[in-house]
Amino acid sequence: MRVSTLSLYRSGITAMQDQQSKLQQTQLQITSGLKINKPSDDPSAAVKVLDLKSNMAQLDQYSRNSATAISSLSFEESVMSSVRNNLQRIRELTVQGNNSTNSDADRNSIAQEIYQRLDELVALGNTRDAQGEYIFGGFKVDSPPFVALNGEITYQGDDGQRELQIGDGSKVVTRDSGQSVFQDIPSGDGHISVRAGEDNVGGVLLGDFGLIGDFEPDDYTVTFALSTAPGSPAGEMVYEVTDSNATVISSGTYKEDTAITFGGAQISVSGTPAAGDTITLSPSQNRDLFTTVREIADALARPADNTASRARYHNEVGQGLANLDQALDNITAVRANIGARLNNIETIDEINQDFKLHMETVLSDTQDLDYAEAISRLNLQLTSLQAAQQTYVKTTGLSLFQFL
Amino acid sequence: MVDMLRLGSNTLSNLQQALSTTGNNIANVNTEGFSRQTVQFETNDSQQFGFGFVGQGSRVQGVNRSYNDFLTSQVQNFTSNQSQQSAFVEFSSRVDNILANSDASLSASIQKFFTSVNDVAASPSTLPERQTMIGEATNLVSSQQNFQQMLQDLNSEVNAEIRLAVKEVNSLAESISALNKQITASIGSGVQSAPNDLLDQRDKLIKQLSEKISVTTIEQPDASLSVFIGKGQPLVIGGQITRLQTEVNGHDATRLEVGVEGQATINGTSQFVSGGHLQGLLDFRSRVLYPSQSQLGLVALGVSETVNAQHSLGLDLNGNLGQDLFASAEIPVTPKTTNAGTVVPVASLTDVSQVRASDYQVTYDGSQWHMTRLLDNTSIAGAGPLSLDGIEVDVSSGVPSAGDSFILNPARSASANFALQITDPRKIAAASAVTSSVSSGNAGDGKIDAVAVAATNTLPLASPVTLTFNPDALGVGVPGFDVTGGPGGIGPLPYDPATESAGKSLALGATGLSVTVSAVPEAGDALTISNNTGATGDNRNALKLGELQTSATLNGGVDTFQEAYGSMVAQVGVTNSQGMSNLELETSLLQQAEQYKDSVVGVNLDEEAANLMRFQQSYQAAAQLIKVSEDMFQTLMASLR
Repeated sequence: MRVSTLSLYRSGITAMQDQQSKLQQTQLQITSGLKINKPSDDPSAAVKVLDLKSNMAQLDQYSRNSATAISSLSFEESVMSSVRNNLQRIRELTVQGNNSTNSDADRNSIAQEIYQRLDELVALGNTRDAQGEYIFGGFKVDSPPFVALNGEITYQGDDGQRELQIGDGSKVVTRDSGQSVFQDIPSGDGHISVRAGEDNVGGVLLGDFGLIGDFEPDDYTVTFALSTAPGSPAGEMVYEVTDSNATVISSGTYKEDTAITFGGAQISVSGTPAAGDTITLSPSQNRDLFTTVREIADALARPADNTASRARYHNEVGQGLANLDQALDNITAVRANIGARLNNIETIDEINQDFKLHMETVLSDTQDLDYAEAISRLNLQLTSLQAAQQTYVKTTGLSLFQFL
Repeated sequence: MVDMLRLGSNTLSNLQQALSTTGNNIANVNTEGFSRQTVQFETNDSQQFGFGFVGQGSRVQGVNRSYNDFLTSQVQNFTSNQSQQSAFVEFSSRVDNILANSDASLSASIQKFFTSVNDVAASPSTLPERQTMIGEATNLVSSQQNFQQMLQDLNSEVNAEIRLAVKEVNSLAESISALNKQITASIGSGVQSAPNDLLDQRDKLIKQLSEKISVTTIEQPDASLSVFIGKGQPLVIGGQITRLQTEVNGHDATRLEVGVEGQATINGTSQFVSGGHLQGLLDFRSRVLYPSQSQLGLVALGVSETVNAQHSLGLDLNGNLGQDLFASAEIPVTPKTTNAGTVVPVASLTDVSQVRASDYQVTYDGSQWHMTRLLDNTSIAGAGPLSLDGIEVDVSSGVPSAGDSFILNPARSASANFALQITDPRKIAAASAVTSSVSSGNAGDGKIDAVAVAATNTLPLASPVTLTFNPDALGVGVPGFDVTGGPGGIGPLPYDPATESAGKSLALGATGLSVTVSAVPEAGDALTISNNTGATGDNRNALKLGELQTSATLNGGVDTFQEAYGSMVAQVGVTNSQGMSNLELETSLLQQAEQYKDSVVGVNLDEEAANLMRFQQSYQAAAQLIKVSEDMFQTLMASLR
């Protein structure tokens, strides 16, 4: 075929330019260290890189959230531990105060210490974190959740639980509301609670109580009276149990240390009741920790100089102890819960970290350059360019005119 | 002898022609469009004698140029194709480069924005996190606008290139028609061989024209060339030319189209253009630029609409319902310039998740309205209002006229509209608008796990809504909640603790609120839903805002923001890499065609050198002829002396 001189030059130049553009591409890859430098280099891989980076940033967010959650929960846990120690001390004091050998003065000094401990508990309930948020206020974090109002501690927060996203579809509760920690504590043994009437004149002492069968929830009242049955010994006491409709559902003769049983519940009673003395039994209700502690202290602070007042303080302190045990159980449950959440965060965080590592590997496989391959490619391309240049010089250097 | 002398001198002058033609070839070896010329010799008629015929030498028949019709038109075609791809790739590579850095991409800005939302969720009551969120939202807006601006700049550049190309086509048309006249005149003047250099020049201009737009030519008997461009639009017929002009797209003032001077435009859509630089520009605009603008806009629309919707359901630090974080969408409807009716359609967004990154056309055919998604020509018809893809178009104002047409593109207009509305960090609505509580005196453990707010029309609640459990709420033995408070008229709501204690969602009538109730309440237990006051530590709405990042909220509920952006990147990448391989192919086809053509018409210096020697030797021989005739004459004279 005829070859025109111009096209000989042109094709030589085109060949060199092709080689140079390939060389430039390789050079760009080597200087950036990336296989893909713009979407058209490999569109699907470019999108994959975007997705991977976005997912990895998401995982970073999750691990930051996890860290926040862990510090928040650890802080709550440390507060919970102080609350528990405090309650333990109050319990010791209460048990000590319940001893009949104590004088009024002894009891009063114990009561004063309990009041002090109560203040500490309120302060713990109003704990603020590093950001200045009241951690037990639920969602109301700007004002103290526990406020003394007419001698009563009232809860001003709500029952909101702050959650944080720590994984795809997994959230973790990072705070418990003051309501669930300090307020919603069942009284008595968790099912029922008993109280001796405040105006009792005899010495009814309440012992153990509990459920022994199917309990029909209602407020029951046990009322003592002198037996009027013919032939009964003088001073024999009988009792009647009425439900909230004043219907008598059970009755019997009172014998000391014998359990009174009705409606699936049982109370052991000792001491010497007087006619008209009452005991009430009702389903457990929520009793906040502060009221429980305050009532114990109040009971201990009250002078006990006769049978009735002694019985009253024993009963109230006993009942307070039951409530205190419920509170301790609740704190333990909250702490167990915190522990479980911390475990959960750790597990999920570990999964997230593994996942992120995996994604980093995939990202590197997708976008990072194989230097060995690239450099050998560079050498090959350099050789090709050199060959193209030499060929150009050789072919264009030849001309018949040289021989004329 | 006289004959011999004449023969010799004739031959000498013929060979001088040949030598100078060779010299001309050598001189034009680097001239673009030059065709190699050769001198055609022809034997003179021989003289008859009694004994036979005696040759009378040769004469120059003409100077011909090497030319091949087929190869020339092939080069023209491939030139059109190659310039089309090259214009396309030149522009699409720039979009490709804009999207190249994944760390500075819109995707990264979206990610950072949602990271800041998450940080607000982690610490809703403090201002620094909120301030950061405002900052990241500003970055998101400016990053989106930045991309949009770059695309807009490319659009202006495309317009400028179209203007330039049209100007060039017109000036080429003028030159071609002038050459046509000269060629016709010189053929008519009776010169035997063709005006080679004029023809070469005309071919060169046709090739230049084919770089701008595809060309077909028909040679007329008078040697003039009729030139048709694109899909058969006549450009030059003899000495007559039809000029092109740029015109504004009937639907979009920012787009320039190509039209014909003095002709009514057909939709103003550059309909006759095909091939060449112009087609490459139009292709880039329709296949890369507009889809990218729309898809980028769709991401902006999605972010602004979904974030606004969720944000408005929450409460800010001041205790007010959230305002729009981003400017809300406006959908301008552009009428075609030729519309005769008086209808002013009003478009509104009903469901952002259904909107596609496409132009939508609304037309009136004389009896009913049509709305078409131009991406795939999905269409609906009716008397209006028209509703397609979560966009409602009200066409009730004014009187329509058959043929009226309107264009709207919610996604593309959103990108121009994308702006931040809130700058006060306290106005970020991180808290839930309502809250729930369980009465302390409840005997059962029934509780509200979550309150969902879907609408705020009854907020703030006039009074708290109380759900009271009643074993006989819906008739004897059918348990549920009696509802009191709130706007009233709600319930009773069925809830059976025996079977539904794992959790059941109850809608609170028309309030737009719903609650998830679980566990076992006892008769008389009360659950309360009330306005969320003073709940500065509440992050529930911030969590919901954060979840938007991973929710499939776009393109019919299948794509997240990130995926919608990714599909744009993928489309640009694929289109550009296709364009590049097309360009490579077209370039090598063009090179091949040029090589073939050059092999026929191009100058080869070695060949010319050989010719030079050949003609030089012939010249020497012819000169010798004169010498011989002179010798013969001298011999004769000497014999007579």
